[in-house]
Amino acid sequence: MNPLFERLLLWFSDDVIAGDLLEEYREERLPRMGRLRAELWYLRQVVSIAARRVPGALAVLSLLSVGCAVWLATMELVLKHSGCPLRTVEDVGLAMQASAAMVAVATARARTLRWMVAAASVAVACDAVASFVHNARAQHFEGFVVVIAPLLLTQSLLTLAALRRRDHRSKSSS
Amino acid sequence: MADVLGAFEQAVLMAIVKLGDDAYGRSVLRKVQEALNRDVAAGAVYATLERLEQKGMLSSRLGEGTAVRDGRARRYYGINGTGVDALNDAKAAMEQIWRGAEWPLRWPV
Repeated sequence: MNPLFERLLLWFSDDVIAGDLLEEYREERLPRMGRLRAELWYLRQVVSIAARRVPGALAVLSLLSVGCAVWLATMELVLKHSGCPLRTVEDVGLAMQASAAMVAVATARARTLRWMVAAASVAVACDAVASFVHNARAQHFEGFVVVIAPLLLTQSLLTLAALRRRDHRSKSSS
Repeated sequence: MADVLGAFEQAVLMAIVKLGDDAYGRSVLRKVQEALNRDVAAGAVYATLERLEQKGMLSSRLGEGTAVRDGRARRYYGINGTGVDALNDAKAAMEQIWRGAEWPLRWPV
């Protein structure tokens, strides 16, 4: 079996579950399905285990945040207003924070990643509030800020709450 | 009526009852698939096992690893009194809901 799949699984679960899936893969799936289908089956189980660890609302908001960040970056590149390189980098950062949030909440490991995502989420929350306030006071009001800023703020706050809950659960079970 | 177990939770608990001492992650997954007659995502089973253990319906212990698992330990599950009560309540609730009706129902009712 592709060792990368097992490494990926261990990000979101533990040795016991990895052992269970390996046993099922070797004893049942590989002889019955052949290597390619058995590996696809294994990958589907990894995704199902990872997905269960991300609260539904956070997953939806994170995916929407990634979509908004991609849209913002695209608009910056198309419109090329002054300061667009820096804002494009900022938009890429937003997309990375939203993507990393889902991984950090789901993973049982990577403490450093969780701290980095927590810090990035605080930054995104502050940026969202600042953008909203700045837009509200600006002469040229942008409607999309009214939608995207609250979305990013909610996503970052949910991420912080989910990370805190995860840490609390890890401490209770150890 | 207190919170009644969902169908999937019942399937997982009954799998553990039927497997007895041999109830560990993989065997529970296979037993649930057999009971529901369909492929079931491992994530759903493990999330349910975790939730039921947090509710105090299950207890677990680590067992020996085997070569086919590259030596990784198995986690064996056993049902507690709370779990047995919950299964009995679920069965009683279903019977109460169906009382007076003939199964299978036909359309028009």
